[in-house]
Amino acid sequence: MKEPLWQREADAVPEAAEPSPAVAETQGDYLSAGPPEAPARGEKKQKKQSKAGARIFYWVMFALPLAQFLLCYVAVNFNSILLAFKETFVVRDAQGVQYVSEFVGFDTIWRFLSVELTSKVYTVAVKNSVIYLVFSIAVVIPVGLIFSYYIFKKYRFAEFYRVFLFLPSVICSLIMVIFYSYLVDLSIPEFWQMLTGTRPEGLLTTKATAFGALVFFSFWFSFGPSSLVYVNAMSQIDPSVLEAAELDGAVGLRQFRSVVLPMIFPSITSYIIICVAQVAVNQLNGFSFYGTGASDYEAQTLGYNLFAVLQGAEQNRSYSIAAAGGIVLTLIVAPLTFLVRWLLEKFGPSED
Amino acid sequence: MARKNKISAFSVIVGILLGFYVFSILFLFLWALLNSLKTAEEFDFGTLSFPGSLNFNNYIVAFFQGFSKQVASGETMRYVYIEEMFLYSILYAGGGALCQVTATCIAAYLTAKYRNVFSRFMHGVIIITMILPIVGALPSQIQIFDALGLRGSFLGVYVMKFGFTNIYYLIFYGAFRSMPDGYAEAARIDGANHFQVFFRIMLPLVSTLCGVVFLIFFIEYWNDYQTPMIFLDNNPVLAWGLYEFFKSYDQALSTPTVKIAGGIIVLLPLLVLFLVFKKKLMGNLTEGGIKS
Repeated sequence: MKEPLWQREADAVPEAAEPSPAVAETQGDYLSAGPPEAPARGEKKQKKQSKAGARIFYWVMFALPLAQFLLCYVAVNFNSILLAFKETFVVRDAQGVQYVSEFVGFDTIWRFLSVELTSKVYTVAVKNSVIYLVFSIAVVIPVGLIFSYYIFKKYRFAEFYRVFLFLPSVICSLIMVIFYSYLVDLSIPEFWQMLTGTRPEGLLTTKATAFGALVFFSFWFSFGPSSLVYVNAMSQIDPSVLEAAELDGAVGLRQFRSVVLPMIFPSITSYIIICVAQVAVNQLNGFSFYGTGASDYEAQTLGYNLFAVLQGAEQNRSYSIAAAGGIVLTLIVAPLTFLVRWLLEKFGPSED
Repeated sequence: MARKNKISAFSVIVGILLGFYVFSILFLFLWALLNSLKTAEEFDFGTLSFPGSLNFNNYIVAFFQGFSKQVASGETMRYVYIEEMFLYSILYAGGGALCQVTATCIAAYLTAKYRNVFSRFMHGVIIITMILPIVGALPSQIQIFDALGLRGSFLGVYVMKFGFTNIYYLIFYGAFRSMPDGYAEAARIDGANHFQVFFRIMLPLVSTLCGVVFLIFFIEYWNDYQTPMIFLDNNPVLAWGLYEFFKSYDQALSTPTVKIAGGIIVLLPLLVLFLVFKKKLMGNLTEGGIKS
């Protein structure tokens, strides 16, 4: 019988090593385990009480997290679907301004598809999002892996480099945005002028270079958390495998390509899937750099557009178009994510 | 004796590239520090030069005037300044991180140790929510929180953060699954109930992991300004204050040197936090917990 998707994911939990048979014998299910060494007399009653106690504990502890999940995931997403089929109308009467939501069928979704998605703003956003996705998979992930391999092998100054790989992810991205924006808009043109005598416009305030500057910013400060995960995954490789490879002459790049990469491929798969899943969510810090004006420099992405629309929607409570956009993009990105996952599992390298 | 790694062309090239990378980060911070000490005239003259003298006026302006936001207070308006923003940041980041760690730990423990049908179902649901991308649920969340009166309050934010569908669920789950039942059995022989087993036996065993995950969430929420912008509009946090400061066109605040100084002011607590806890933050999350 084919394993359900969630079961495979459950089995792929990296640190959930299955206990040894000796330990497994002692590991039970707290829900059904009775009191150990219970006396014969009244044993049935004690077992019943213990099971009841376990159930009370289970449901009392799970109550709040479950309620939060039902509210903030199930209800929110259900309402999001409903919103996509509604429209908000502004009604002015004697009592003032009223916002009335009504079901309009597929009108809002159709408006998003026919008007919004085909507009120049969204066309550029789709193009930018896809470009960044390809860049992430083709450049950011490989460079992160190479850096992580250097840290894992503890080559010279590895610990020192590790601190600086991780540091930008700790610091508020807004701080880096402030420093970076003045650096590329003022200092780099100034430096270019010193070299060539001509001063170009700032990189973030020129249409031709704005998106590239955003991409470079994301690339420059993206290595931290992923490097932790990659180094951790590399640490799980049996040292004898690496020693055997070294004895066969596989060192440096050869060892990285032929031994390490296949063995940590599940971690790489996770990051590729995250990149694909976030293609419609990633703002590339556009809002931090430009506020609602990124489209003036053609630096917007799909994630930026959705957030910027929401900022505008606040004024007239018209969340429907943003919800409709979210539903449409989910219906495109979700199957794409599962497809990429399937392709990577089917055609990716294996430990063998 | 530790084996030395063989030096190869690959390691030399990557080492040099990493060196350039570290240099670029250090250059950026040094550049920001030097420019924060310049006057506006010095900055206009050149951004790649050293300051003529150490001018801390930018920091004074940034600290006392930069971080201010007008918010509604009943029927009136009032200003919130940096001290109050700092407090709101602590409440948002600390409270949010605590809620997230608590919910994640509880859910992972229950699904790992109480293996009934519902636990298996929830485990599967959590895995699916992690890989299924849901785009654009924010408008719906705003509407629901508005309807429930949760928007604009810390209670609402804590409700939002009391979730367990995050990557650290898997780490907690793995930790609890690999824990032998000997501890719990010994406690039950001594008469402990399930609550006591969890709070007095299991929770202390994952306390280090809880601490590290708390730190990670704390840093994430400390740096977040978009969620407070939407859900805590009358309680601006420091990151949001910095965003407003950065976008300000106020004459006294629009000088780049003042804005860079403002960025350094917000940077310092995080830098201290990182330097103190860097081993924990960068360590192996699977370590810690049970003593062998």
